[in-house]
Parts: sequence; structure tokens; C-alpha cells
Amino acid sequence: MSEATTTPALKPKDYKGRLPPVWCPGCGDFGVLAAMQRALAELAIAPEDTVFISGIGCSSRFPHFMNAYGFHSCHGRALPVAVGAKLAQPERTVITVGGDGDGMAIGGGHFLHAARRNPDITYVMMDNEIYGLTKGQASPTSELGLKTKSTPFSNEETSSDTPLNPLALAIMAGATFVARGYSGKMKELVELTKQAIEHEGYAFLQVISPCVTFHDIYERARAQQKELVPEHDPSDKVAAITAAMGEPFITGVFYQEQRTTLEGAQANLVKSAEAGLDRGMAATAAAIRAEAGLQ
Amino acid sequence: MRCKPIPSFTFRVAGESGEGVISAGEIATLAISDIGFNVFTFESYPAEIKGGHCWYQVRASNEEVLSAGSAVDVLCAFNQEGIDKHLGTVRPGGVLIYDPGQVKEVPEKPDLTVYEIDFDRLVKEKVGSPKSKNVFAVACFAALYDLPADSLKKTVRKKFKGKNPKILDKNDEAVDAAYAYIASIPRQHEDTLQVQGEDDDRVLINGNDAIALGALVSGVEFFAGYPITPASSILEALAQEMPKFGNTIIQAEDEIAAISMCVGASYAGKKAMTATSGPGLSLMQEMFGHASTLELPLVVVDAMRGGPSTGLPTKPEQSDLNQMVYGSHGEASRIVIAPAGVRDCFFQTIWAFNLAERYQVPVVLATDHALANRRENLVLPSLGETPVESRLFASEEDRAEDYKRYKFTDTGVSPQAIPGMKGGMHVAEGLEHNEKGDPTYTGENHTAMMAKRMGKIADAWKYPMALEAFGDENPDVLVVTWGSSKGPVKEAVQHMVSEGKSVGYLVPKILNPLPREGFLDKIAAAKEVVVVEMNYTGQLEGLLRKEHARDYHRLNKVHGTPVSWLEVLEKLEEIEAGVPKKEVHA
Repeated sequence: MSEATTTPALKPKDYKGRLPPVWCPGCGDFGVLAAMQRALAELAIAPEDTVFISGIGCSSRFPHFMNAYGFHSCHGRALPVAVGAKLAQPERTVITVGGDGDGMAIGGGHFLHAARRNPDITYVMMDNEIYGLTKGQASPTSELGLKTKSTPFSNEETSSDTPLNPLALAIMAGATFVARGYSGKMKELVELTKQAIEHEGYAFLQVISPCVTFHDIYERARAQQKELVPEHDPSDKVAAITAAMGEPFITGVFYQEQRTTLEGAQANLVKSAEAGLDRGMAATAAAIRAEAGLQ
Repeated sequence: MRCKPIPSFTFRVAGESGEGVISAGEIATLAISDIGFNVFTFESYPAEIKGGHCWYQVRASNEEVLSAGSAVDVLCAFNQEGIDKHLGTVRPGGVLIYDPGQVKEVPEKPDLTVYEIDFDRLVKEKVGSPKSKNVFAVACFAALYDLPADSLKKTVRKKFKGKNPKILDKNDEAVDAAYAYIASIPRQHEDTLQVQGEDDDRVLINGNDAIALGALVSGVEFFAGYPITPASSILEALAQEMPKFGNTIIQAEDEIAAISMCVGASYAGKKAMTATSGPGLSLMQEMFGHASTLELPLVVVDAMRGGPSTGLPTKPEQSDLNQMVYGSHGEASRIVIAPAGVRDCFFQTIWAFNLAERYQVPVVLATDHALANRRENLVLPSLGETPVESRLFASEEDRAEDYKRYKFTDTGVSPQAIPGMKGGMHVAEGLEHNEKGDPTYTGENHTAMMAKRMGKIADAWKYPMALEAFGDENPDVLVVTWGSSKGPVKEAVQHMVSEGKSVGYLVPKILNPLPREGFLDKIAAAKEVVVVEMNYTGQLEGLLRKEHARDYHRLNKVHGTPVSWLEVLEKLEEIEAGVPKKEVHA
């Protein structure tokens, strides 16, 4: 049903949504939003061919701030909604956005299964290691022993909750593009966002996107952030996992491979199944439809 | 017995799960169907994969078969438990066929005809293939009741179509051996099953098949499911058939993902469906309410089983009505439809899609374990007057300027734009939103949006197949029931009517919103109303009480088996005799 094929030169502002962001001044998510608008403009993907799907959280308000189709779904469910939308319309650019609580806690099961299916969607996880929208509780990526409103007595002795490692998990689960960016490093983030969108298959982009209000990690991020060493080979899965399990603020493309996408597999399946339209229940259904004058 | 059932014949086979009991029952059903009878099956199997007791029965008649009946004509027992558990159901003058090698003792039962047939030994000696025991046993029964051997061979070949030709030949040998054996022993019974005619036009399908077929005819474009008893065979059937139409089916990681995928596909314009049972529906509740708020069409099948919790996974119950009507937080508009038979499953599935699309709302399609698995032989349905509807998409004009996804309209239904459509961009928003889809928290807006979502479905009950009525139009005793409990109710009401009693029944196929004309008005007018359902608390009765406060009689059953027509009859006679109202748990 697409009506948009070619679009005149697009600018980042063409992707700016009607509603102003509701984020705190200084929130890392502003950087992710700006990078996304630039990336889409550079890739010249028409706004109406782009779908942003989110769950619940500060970063999940993202779809409203884009000029594109959007879907603000339930907490943790952005990925399966995105898989359904992508399978329904494989020709669209489907981008899932959300935070670490949404993706790694309540949506943790979907995180693994979306990766292993390899749908051609992009998942940008804005990781601030805290629950921001509910005002400051521990998240599954919070460092061990972090004191928060929900963990007031937490320290390294009183907590056993080791943080999840989204990058390593994504690689292990079968994601075919795995990268990390930093909201404070715009040029690189635009490039990573473009690469993630252009990748044919499931692209996971973790963006360190600090929360200035409840867990400000800017200082640490600025001090520790650096790029992957130039000799890192993103086709080497073991090296990618090793790098992912290393220092937390390293940015770049950790892993990339090509394999059949979910939509590609479905298309192959359809081709192989078509021959059976004269058999089984499908034949009966087709006959009933034909008799009723339905196509 | 003081009352007569419809003229029918019931064959039951019982034994250990895993030794071919269910497949023997299926072969017998197909064989009886193939010689022209109407059939109605019931099966019972344990929740374990191997071992445990299972049984299968087929009731056959020239007339419409409405229920599993109340007495067995022929019991075929593969083991001692098969006798211990089922001999009591064999009618006086009935027949027992059993394998003496597996049975130590047959209790005394007067007026019982017994055939001792050593299935295991005979199959080994004469066919050389122990796996053919089920075919051999059914063939013994068929020979005893004069089914032509050739017809049975054809049936068995149909049943095992696509299997190794050597197995098919072995099956033929088993049929011949059984007929030869039966010819060599003295006949002790009189009954026979006469060929009614060759019947190749009819298909033998169960409720789940009929739903899958209805979905295909409706043009289902997307299905996501997660395995659960007793709904899995819908997933399996559609996995086989949907790709042939170029459509997508996916097995999700859980029920939450399954419904989420469907909601995503519906957002992108596709007719979407999922199928589950009570536990899965519980998991889907949040996303179900989300779909309702997003005004997205969706069909969710709930093939109910005994609950709560893991409950009785392989037994029927009608105890999910409350969660279908009220489940999900807040107040989420939805339609609930409950087919009452296998053929009805086909048509109500089409209506479930039609109403989902027409009103842009999620629809629950309710069946239960008994209906999901029970087979009937049907003449292939034709749509006739039944339409296949599609939703209202946003036209170019709708999108020309200031497109509003949740626009207030006379019908309450707003044209939907989908990704790719220029000018239709919006956010499908789970927060309360204004017409454009922007989060809006004013009281006035919330009131208006609630009224929009609730109001648009108010007349959903006005579709042609929403209500089934039978018997006296303004009866002294009105029976109300839903879903698969209709069969036994009809059988009992038929019996009462034939005796000149003023009895009738109403079966709403739509349970939310309930039909007003022809249903709630009749309930208000009736002298006595009895509600029959397979649950403990009287869930439909509760809904009726909310719509129309009055005294209701109740027949509730939570026994893991369907309500029997005799239980209904007893209740009706009790009401007729003026026994004070009370809650009865059969």
C-alpha cells in the first residue's frame, strides 16, 4: 500500500515530530533523537515508510518526537510488536526504541527471541542503568551494589544482582549486527545508527544515554569512553563477545554477520508452500472463497 | 429408563494411552461416517504424553447428533481399566468386546453380550504386525456390525494416506483377518449398522479445524501462537495452510509475544489471529486491553479447559467467561463470541473477523476442550449470505490534511492509516489520547474516548447468526446456555417438546455485548429461566443477572465432562414440578 517511493532531499528537521520532547534538559536521549533524525535524512528513507515502535519508559516516548509512523506499546513488548509489524509490511523500515528496563527486565524474554529470529529491524536501546520514568529504581543494567530508591541499602555485600550485559547477550542470542554508541558522541552515533538501519537483519544498537536526574553517569562515560581498537574483527564472534564483556564504555561495531532474515525465510516458505494450494484445508478454503466471489 | 434418547448408536473404545485407542476411535468414526451416518465424537486422554487411561467414543445417528449421549451400545476394552471404568455406561442389551489377554476379570452384568477377542495374539499370528492392533480391533467391531470390508479398507487407507505402502497393505491384511475371524465365531447380538449410502461429500472435522478453515476463508493474513492444550491444533493447521496463501504464521516465545505480534500486524493493516487456552488468555490480558485502546482488530481464540491454574488441561470447562468479558485492567471494550457446534465454529469465526474489522476491536472466540476436539461430519459449508468484511482504511481524502486516527465519528469507528500511507502518520498510543493520538490527560477527553470505544460496539449483537432459538417461542421454562453445552440442552428440550411441554432454549453466540431483542427481552418475559453452563459460579447467569435482575435456576457442572442431556432433562423436570430454586452442582 506504499505510495512513497522517491522523496526529494530530506533534512533532519523533516523527521521532527509535532510534539516537543518531554525529557529532562541534558538527558542523553536528545542525542539519540538528533542522531536518528540525521541518519534517516542521510539514508533518505521517507518518513511515512518508517515505523518507530516503543514500550514504556522515558526513552519510549521517542515515537512522538519523530515525524514518522509510531507505536507506543506496553512495557516490554516493543520487540514482538515490531516483529509483527515488520512481517506484515517487510518493505517498511521498522525501528524499535526503548530503555534498559523495558528491554532487559520486563522484555528480557523477547530480547533473546527477537535476536535469534533475525527480523530486519533495528533496536536502539537507550541505556541509562536506571528506571527514570518511575523516578529512580534499580535497573537490570545498574552496576552491582548501586544504591537507588528501590535498593536503599545496596552495596557490594548486600546485593547479588550482577548487571546484565546487553551486547554480549545480543551476540549470543543470534543478533547479526551488534554495536554500542554514546549519546555524547554525535558523529559516531549517526554513523552507527545508519549502519544499524542499513544492516539486513536484526541490528542491536546499545546507546549509553545517561539520566541527569536519577543516575548521572556522564562523568564516568566521558572519562572512560573510547572506540574499539581498529584491529577488532566484527566477523569474529568470540572476539566480539570478549570485547563486549570488556570495558563498559567502548563504542563501535562489535559484531556483524549475514544470515537469512525472518522475512526472507517467510518468503522462501511461501514459495515452497504455494504448490500445495490445491491440497488440504487451503484447497477447501479457496473453493469456499471462490464460490462466494472472494478473490 | 423413563425417557428415550434420539435413535442412535454409540461405540466406545478404551485402554492405555499410547496403544492406539484414540486412532482406533478415529478410524471407527470415519468408517461410520463413510457409510452415511451423522457422527459426534468425544475423547478423553490424560495430560501425560505416554501412559494413563484414555478413551474415545463416537455416537452415530441418521438425525442430527447433539451430544455424547448417555449410554454406550458397544464397548471395546483394550485392558482391565477399560472395563472397570466404562462397563457401567454400557446399556442393557449392549455389547462388550475385550482382549482376554489383557483382562483378568469381567464383573457380572446382566443382559450383556460379550465377545472375547484376543487382539494381541490374533494380530501377531494372522497379520504379523502388532502395530495393526487398532485397525484389527475396529475391523472386528465393523465385521460384527456388518460394515462392508471394502468400505472399511477404503476408510483405513484414507486415514493413513501418505504412509508407507507396506503399512497400508498390512492394514488391509488386518481388516481381512478380522472379518475372517468374526465369520468363524457365533454371532450373539442382533443389531446391525446398515449402509446409509456412500458419503464422500462430507468432511470429518473438529471444532479447531472448523476455526482454522473459517479463518482461512475470512482471509486471515497473520497468525502468531504459542502451543497450549487444547488450542495447539489451530496453530498446527494454520502453519500447514497459511503459507500456501502467501501469509505469515509464527510460533512466538510466549503468549504475550504472540498477541503482541498480532497487534503489530493489525497496526500494519493485516487480519490477525492468535489461539490459546485460559492460561494463555490470562497472559494476554494486558496486550488485549492495549489493542482495545488502540482500536485494532484482532481475533483471539480461547479453547477453554478446566481451571484455575494448570487445572485440568485435557478436560472441558466453560469457566473463562468472566476473564473474556472483563479481563484486562481498566474497562476495555471487546466482543466475545461463542460457537455452539463444529459447523458453528466455522461461521462464528468468520463473524469474529467481520466484527473485529467492522468495529476495530479485539474479539474473543470462545470454545472448549470438548468442542475443539470433537469431530462431526459436515457437508462443506458455503458462505451464502455471510459476508467477509474488511476494516475501514483511511482514504486519501481522510489523509489530505490533519488526519485523525481516533477521529470522533457517528459510528465511533475511525478510518485507519497504516505505515506507507502519506499523510496518515500517527502514534498508536496506549496512553489515553486525543483524536490525533497525542497523549491527553483531561477528564473530558477520557470520558469522550471511553464513550467512543464502548459505544461503537453497542449494536454488535445485531448480526444474523448472533442467536439460536428452539422450542416454544414463549415457553414456561426457558433454558439459556452457551457454547458446547447447547447440544445436550437441545437434546433434552427436544425430548420435553415431544412430550408436549412448554419448553424452549436460547443460545446467544455473542456474549458481549449480549443480544437485546429476542434474548434479554425474552428472559425478562419468561416464567422460569434456567442457565446451564460448565462452571461453578454461574458466569453467564452472572452476566444475565446484571442485565436483568430476576430469579434464575442454575445447572452448573465442573466435572471435566460435558453436561449430559439427562442431567438437563432432570433439571427441567424438577423446575416443572415446582421444586424451589437452588444451585445445583451436578
